[in-house]
Amino acid sequence: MPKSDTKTAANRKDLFSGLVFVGIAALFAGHSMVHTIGTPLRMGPGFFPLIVSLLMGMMGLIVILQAFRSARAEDPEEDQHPIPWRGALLTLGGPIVFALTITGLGLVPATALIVIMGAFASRDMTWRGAVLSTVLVTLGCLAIFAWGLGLPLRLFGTWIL
Amino acid sequence: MEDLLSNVALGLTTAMSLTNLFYCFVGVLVGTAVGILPGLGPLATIALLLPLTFGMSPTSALIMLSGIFYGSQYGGSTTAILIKLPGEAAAAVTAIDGHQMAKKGRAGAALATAAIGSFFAGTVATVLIVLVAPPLASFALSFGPPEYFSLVVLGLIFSVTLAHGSPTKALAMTFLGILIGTMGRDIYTGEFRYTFGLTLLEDGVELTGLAIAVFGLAEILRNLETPVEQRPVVAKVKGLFPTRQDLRRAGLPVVRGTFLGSLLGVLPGAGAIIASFASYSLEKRLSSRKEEFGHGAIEGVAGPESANNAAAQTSFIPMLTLGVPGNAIMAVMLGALLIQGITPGPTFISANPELFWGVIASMWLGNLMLLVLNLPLVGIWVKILTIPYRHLVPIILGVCTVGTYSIGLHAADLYIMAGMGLIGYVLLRWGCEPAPLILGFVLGPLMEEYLRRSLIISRGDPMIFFQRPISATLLLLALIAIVAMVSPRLRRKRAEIIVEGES
Repeated sequence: MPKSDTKTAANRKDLFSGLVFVGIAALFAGHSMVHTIGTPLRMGPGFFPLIVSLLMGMMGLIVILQAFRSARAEDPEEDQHPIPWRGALLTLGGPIVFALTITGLGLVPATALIVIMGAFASRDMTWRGAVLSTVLVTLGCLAIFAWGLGLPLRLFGTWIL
Repeated sequence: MEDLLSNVALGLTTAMSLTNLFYCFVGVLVGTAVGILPGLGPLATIALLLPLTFGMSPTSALIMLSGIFYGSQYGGSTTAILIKLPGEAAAAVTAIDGHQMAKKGRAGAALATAAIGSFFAGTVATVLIVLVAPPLASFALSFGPPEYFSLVVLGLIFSVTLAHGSPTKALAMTFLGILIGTMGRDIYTGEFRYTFGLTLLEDGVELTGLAIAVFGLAEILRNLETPVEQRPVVAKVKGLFPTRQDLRRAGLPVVRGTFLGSLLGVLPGAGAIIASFASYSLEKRLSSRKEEFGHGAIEGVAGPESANNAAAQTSFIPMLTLGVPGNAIMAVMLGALLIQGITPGPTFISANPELFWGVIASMWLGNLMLLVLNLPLVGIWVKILTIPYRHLVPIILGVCTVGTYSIGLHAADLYIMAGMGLIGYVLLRWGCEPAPLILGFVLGPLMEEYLRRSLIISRGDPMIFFQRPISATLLLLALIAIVAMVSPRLRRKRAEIIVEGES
């Protein structure tokens, strides 16, 4: 049976999110077996999460069912845009790079690094703009966190000094 | 009565101290700015600024954070009117007629109406909190664990029913939030649970990092999806003052919107958003000039703007008096108070009179500041809008990362933040809103605690929730909400209201 594009797109959104919900619910429900479940009177650490994960799994199944049943096309404008891979990599990678370098490089270079990553997350960033915002934002972060809040962090880490 | 006056006096003196006035000012200023800027909502901002409040007194912290919240409502309506881009979901309705007014050269009148309506609504809502909160708190003193458990259940169900988008997905997101909240150390047995063998999950997930991930990082990615930015066309603002006829037409809608908003704000869920939609359809129905709606009817600005501001204000009532936040923003505020070592609940007002009355008084002062601040400064706010998004990304990312790290100096919080940002973005792409997740995350531990204590009281008999009258009533209301949500007729009606507002 041929289907229109918008229809499959709408269905896919429901289907995938439903599968993710069922998957995560199964993960938690399965892991509950590791912990003591206990009785209602003496609840173990696994009791409440087990109930919640079962309920979540149920919701996930309903979402999956809706994906197959519903013919309604959701907002067709959505999902037209492709995933911004470069932005995703830089934005989500930023905190990880910061975490890895903060003790080694120290606050100043680690902050500058993450700000540069943020600057190049947008495809239309120019070099001049990137340098300018890196300097300004790094200084701003230092002002707030190092001098304002007085975080006990080395400005330059052991890899440098 | 005398009691009330002395309380109000206490509040005013607290709020008028130089420090608190300063934080209130900073709050509403930052709030207006983020309300205007796309891609950074009040929730992410409040979460971001949480670490900065740790060093303040709890009163100053809450004054500033609430200033951000209601300030953003003002800012959101400014962009809705000037460029038809609601900076805040609750301002979506304002964009319809507000922007039409702006196109006809009446942007000034629309902005002024929105500001004056919001100020009136804010004032009335503040008085309402003063009158309603103390009796509600003393009523809640009789609540035991079963009542609280049912109240939390009702709150979660209601917020799902009133949220926009698919209620099934919202419910699943709520459960996901609750599950994320269970990771880490179990407070009863002290054993690590649901860490899946990862040491970085042993301390559990930090509220700030989670909120920043799903509202900050995921939102950046959402904004990066649109490839090249179009510079918004900003309507010229001239003639700030509404004519006498404008004021006459706006008067009753402001009053009606205020009361509708105050009422809906107390209910859990997306109070401010629903309030503005409801007020718009009410004004349209009552108006003798229906044909003007959608083409710049001033009633369509005055009503919804008053309604969403009133609702924003009264949504503090359940959080402060019952300790049960009705929406994700209140949940983060609750988190801020808990970090300061203060547990909101029925005894909160009597135990912290200065804090409670000070914050309430500051809301009124903050609304006054917004009125004075926003209209003359509209030119500056418009300039902010022309900052290209590419310059905002490094700011948001830098402050988010260093801010989250500054809370506990744990690298683990950053890894969790990146992971949650990824999950949040993917789910957002598939039509799952993140707000219920935050609400579930904050309310989950309370729920488990109340469930455990209730079942200890009843020796393991779950019927305790139905045997106690208040608890049974609350659960019955939750059941009615579920039935209403499933019934096709109501579902269509609900979709209609939301679509009408968005189109």
